[in-house]
Amino acid sequence: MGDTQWSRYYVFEQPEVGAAFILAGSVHAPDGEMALLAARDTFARRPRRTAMWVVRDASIFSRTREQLDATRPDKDAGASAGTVFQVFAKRSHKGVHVHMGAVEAAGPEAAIRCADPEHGGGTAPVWWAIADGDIIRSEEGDREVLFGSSPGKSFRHEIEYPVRTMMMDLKRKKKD
Amino acid sequence: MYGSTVEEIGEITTGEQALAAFEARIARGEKIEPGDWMPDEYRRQLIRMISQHAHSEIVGQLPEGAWITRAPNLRRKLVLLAKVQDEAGHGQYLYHAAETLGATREEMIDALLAGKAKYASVFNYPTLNWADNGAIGYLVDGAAILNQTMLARCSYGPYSRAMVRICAEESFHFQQGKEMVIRYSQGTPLQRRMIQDAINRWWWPSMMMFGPHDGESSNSEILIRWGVKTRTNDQLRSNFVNQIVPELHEMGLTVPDPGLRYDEEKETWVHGPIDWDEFWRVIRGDGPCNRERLEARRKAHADGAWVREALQAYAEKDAN
Repeated sequence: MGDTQWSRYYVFEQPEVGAAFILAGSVHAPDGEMALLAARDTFARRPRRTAMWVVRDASIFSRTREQLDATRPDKDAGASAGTVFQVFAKRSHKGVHVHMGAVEAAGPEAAIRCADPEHGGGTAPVWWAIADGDIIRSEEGDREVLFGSSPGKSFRHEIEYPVRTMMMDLKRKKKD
Repeated sequence: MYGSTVEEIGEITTGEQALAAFEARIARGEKIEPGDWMPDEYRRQLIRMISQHAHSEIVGQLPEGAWITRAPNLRRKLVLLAKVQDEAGHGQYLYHAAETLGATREEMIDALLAGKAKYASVFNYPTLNWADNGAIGYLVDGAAILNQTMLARCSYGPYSRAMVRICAEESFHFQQGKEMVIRYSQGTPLQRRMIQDAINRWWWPSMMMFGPHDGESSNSEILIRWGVKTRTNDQLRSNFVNQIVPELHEMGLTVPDPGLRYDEEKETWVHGPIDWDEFWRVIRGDGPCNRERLEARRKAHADGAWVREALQAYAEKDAN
């Protein structure tokens, strides 16, 4: 199947202030700004996010546990000055990628090797490193506009519909 | 910059070894992710299922959407607006999930508009009065939730995660419908007649949502083997009957199935025969509203052409 679409951007979302970003999914868009808007419209229709990041798929450097174990570390492994990378780990084959932290390293593989012991990745089967400059971020000042809560929309919660009580009342009425 | 994000799992040399490793991953309960090795048939089945599911969400906006302007009060209008908007959002989650398998938005939408793609046949029935919105929330969303709760545990990561989000939102759809049905059932004689009529019309299309009987469902075996589904069509349908029938009786309403009986020994409700001729007729395009639904989608697509053109112009400007 030919891909006639725009670039794929991976979407990471932050569920609350200070929490780690987690992988939400992906969208297709002509550029990062549009990707961020598409990500917001797709994955944050219900306000329970505080921020979002999007990253073009080609900007993600991926290594599996097997690949990391099979090759010798780069000579430049270790925290040497260079680029800042944001490192993500998929900590089990059942989960999704979670942000582990920022690492300054000479290259993406070195960044993963630094982050692995430091952030307790343990047996995480998949690691991603993304150069910090390749991440398109929602702006702090836009939080309320993009992700603000809608207190007037409580009707979108099931708790607003007391069907359990209503059914119990029906049963009681029948008995009487 | 770094090429694809393909995540190879171990050293795999032959197709047979690859398949064995894949099935071992499924057996361990691992999620299969977009770049992972997967059998072509797994990819094909998932694209088929997810795109049909996406189309169902999109077309599913239409029967209820017709009543937004005629809601009996502002609160009910807000509820219905939010519900219909959710269905559009669910379609988006699912199209994105299908795209991770290599399907493009264009080809999926084209297949729908050309009448080549399937979607849930239940949405080809008309909504004749306001009570139908209660019956849809209670029966149609009730049936959908059983299927979607199962799919939230599906072996393909993006589909499973889309389902988790959808189920969380869908529960409000079901509850608001159920609340309407209960209130109608305890209302005036006319209101009771209205809701009974709506239940009578939506019961069988809802029962058909679970798909053909297990013996007739050609895809079921492989989907269960690969952890896409964990329950068969008949198991889910039976869960639905056992959940809904006692509640309808409690409300003083009846089920339009003369063959319906309670099996004391197995402690389960057993439904009468389903009119599969009708099911296949509607699937093949000859239901009461198939043409109207596709016409509405084609018009919406044509009306949105300027947005796609503007985005394309923006993309080209960006590239230059």
